[in-house]
Amino acid sequence: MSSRELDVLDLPSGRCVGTIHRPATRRSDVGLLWVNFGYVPRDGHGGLASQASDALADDGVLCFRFDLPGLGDAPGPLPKVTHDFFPVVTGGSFTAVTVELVNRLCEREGLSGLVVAGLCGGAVNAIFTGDAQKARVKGLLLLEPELYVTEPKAADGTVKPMRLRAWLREQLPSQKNVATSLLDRALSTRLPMEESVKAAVLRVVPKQATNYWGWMRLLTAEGKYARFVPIPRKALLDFVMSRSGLPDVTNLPLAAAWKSWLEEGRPALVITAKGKLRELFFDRINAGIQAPSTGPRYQHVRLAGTNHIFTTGGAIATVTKHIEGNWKLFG
Amino acid sequence: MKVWAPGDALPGDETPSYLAHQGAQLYLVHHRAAAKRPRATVILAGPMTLERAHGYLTWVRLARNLAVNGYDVLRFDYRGVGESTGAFREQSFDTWLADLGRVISHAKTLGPKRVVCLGLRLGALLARPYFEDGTLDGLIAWEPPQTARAMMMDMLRRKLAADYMEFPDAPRKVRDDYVKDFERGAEVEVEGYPWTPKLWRSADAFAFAEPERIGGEWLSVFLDGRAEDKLPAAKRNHYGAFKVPKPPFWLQSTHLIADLREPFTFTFERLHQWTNAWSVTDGGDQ
Repeated sequence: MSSRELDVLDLPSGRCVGTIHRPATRRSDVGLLWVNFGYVPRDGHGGLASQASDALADDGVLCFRFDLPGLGDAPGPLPKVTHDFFPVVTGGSFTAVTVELVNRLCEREGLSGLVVAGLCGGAVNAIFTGDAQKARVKGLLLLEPELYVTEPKAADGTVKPMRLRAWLREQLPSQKNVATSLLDRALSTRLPMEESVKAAVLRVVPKQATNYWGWMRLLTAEGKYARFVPIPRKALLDFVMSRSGLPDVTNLPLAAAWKSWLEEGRPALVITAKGKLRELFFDRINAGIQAPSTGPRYQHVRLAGTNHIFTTGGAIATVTKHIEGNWKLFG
Repeated sequence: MKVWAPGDALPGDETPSYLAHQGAQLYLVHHRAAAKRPRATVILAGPMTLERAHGYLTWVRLARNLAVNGYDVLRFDYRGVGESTGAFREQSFDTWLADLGRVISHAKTLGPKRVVCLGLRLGALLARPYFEDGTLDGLIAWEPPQTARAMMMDMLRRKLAADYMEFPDAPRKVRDDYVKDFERGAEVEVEGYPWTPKLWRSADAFAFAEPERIGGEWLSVFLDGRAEDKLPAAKRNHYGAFKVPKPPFWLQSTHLIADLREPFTFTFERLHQWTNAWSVTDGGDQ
């Protein structure tokens, strides 16, 4: 039977507040460290991190869940708006403090290393941390990793969503023939009165109708209006998937870190919600960077019938079982 | 009124700890007041399950703003949720009521004489009985649901919306189908938590009616922006209504930390009036 302890660590990059799941008998010198899932506190949505840690600690693995500075119980600066938080994560701003945390925990607890785990933004942080501290990060446990940046901001700070025109252009093959050149030209050409027509259309058509991410959410059944989409969703997704180039929105430093991790044959367990947005991009970016994702120490589990945060379809229990069952990857 | 914002130095010590309670560990964070003599202890009784996760940053900020203004603050998690131990399946509104009772007992062992509970949604429902029986000196109910069942039905509506999205080809359900599931003894997964028939049944005894206690101070604050004429005409000074950005901070909001200046100022001013009056009746012994 495991027990829980609380921990407050003042690190050079800020204070972290965490929970330790200590096994009655430790059976591994590699522990597990969960970092915040996006901006939610350290137990994760539906208590996923907490439940998985209880289960693994009962199996003899020392587990930690920490709030990083600004999140959960840990004090620190934070942007006001959720949208401004994403670039903080995707830009790797939590990497330094997570590396400090890994080092401190390993030294104090006598561990040879830690598997770093997280969902969505937490997975992003885990990849960056693994890249920055390869000696002590012994594995990555990535739930719904987001290898892309969402709706990057323009220089003036305004959100500049990728519009349909840019998205269509992205779909053109790199080896252009005459037809595609014509299409490209057509897409690039300003038509007479285009701006006035566009303004008139935008008055009657909601902005979301020309928003790339809006469409992606609809196609992957993550938007609230997804069920009303009267189009062959699967066929369109397959079309998007078939493109081999990297999407414009790829988080290149993150994708490079991920590729390097896999090329070195380091262990990783990836769990994604089958057919959802993150999985779609994960597969496409993996193909684009030619990531060697087939080794004996790599496992990708695709969970059907659940959502991005694993709060439907009994996914929390299923994820926990997969983590327990695949822990040998990190041993 | 002083304002604390993320990135500022902490107003006082913050100590996370476990409180032993019926074989479990209740997670408790004590925010010490930025004053030698705290005006009172304020217990923050939070909302339920995923609402806790989404509203957490705002909730912590609220605690720090109370601390910077001279209040000792206790935040805690109900059993089976967050950092408290216990299986969610074993919990009910009665066990969560007992959790709040345990935290109130603990609060009474701390320095300040007076104990106030600020409850949000579920927290407001649970705090009311302790106010009515005189255990609490003051009650501040933020967005109190009319009944626990109404609150759960509201959460089931969100489940329906999520299920429509995730399983577009599945047979359509209505909330009453889930109610039937509870009645036949089945569990229903709601926002990642396994709601049990026991939880559903226990909700029946919890409602938020206007407090009837003579003495004690109370305040109901609605955060849905309802008009003044929608507030009860009698005891009008016990009510406030404000609009917070939608979706509200206990749902998936566009804001990491909600702008609660208006409801906080209103609440804080009233709390200050109460503690000033108590200071006189208690002979300056707070």
